[in-house]
Amino acid sequence: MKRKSIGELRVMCIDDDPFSIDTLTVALGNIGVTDIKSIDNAKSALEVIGSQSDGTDVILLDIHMPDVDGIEFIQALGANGYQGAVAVVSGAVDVILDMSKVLAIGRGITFLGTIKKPAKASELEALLNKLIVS
Amino acid sequence: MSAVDISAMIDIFGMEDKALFSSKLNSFIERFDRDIEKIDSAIEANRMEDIVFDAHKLKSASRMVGALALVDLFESIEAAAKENDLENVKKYFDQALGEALER
Repeated sequence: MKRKSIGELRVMCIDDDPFSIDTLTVALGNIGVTDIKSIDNAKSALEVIGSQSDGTDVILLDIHMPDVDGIEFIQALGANGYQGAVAVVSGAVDVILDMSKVLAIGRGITFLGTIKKPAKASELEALLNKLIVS
Repeated sequence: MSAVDISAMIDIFGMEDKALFSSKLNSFIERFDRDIEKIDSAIEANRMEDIVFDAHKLKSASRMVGALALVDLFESIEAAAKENDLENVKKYFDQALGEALER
C-alpha cells in the first residue's frame, strides 16, 4: 500500500542479531519512520503477520538467521496472503540476494530491493520512498 | 579496539551524533568480547559451522562501526571455516585478537 510520507509507513524489521536490528531501527528513526516493529526471528514474524489486521507496509528482512532463514521466510510469506512489500537487508552473497528477489516475485510479493549490510540511511530512504505517493 | 571509520557510521545513521556513536561502539565492544569467546570455543571443538555463523555476524557488526580491519579478518575467518581450513581460521582469529588488543 502506498503512503503519503515515510512517517506513515508501518515497517517490520526481522533480524536475529540485536546489534543489527538496533542499528537499523535507529537509522529508520533518523529518516522519519515512527512505526517500527522489530522481531528477532522469522518464525515469530510469520505468526505476527498472520494474525495482525492493521497490516505491515514493508518487511526489512535479514537472510542468515537460525531456524527459519530469510529464504524460507519468503517462501512461507507467499503462502499466507501477505499484502505488503519486502526488502532484503543482508550481508549475504549476491546469488542469495538474487534468489530472494526471484522467490518473492514468483510468489506475488512486492519486492522493493536489496541492501547490503550495513544499510545506509540514504539507501533505506530511497527504498522506502518507492512506497510513497508523490 | 580496532580503529574505526566514523564516516561509515555517519552514512549508516544518516547523521553525526557523537553520543550515539559512543553508545554503539560500547555495544560493539561488549558484543565483540562475547562472540570472540564463542568463536574460540568453536575452534577448540572444531565446530566449523558455528565459526562461519559467528564470524559472519561479527563481520557485519564490525562493518556497522566502521572497524574495517576487523571486517577483513572476520571475512577471512568465515571463508577459511567454510573450507574446513582450521589452520587459517586460527591464524586469522589470532590476527583479529591482535587487532582488537592493539587499540
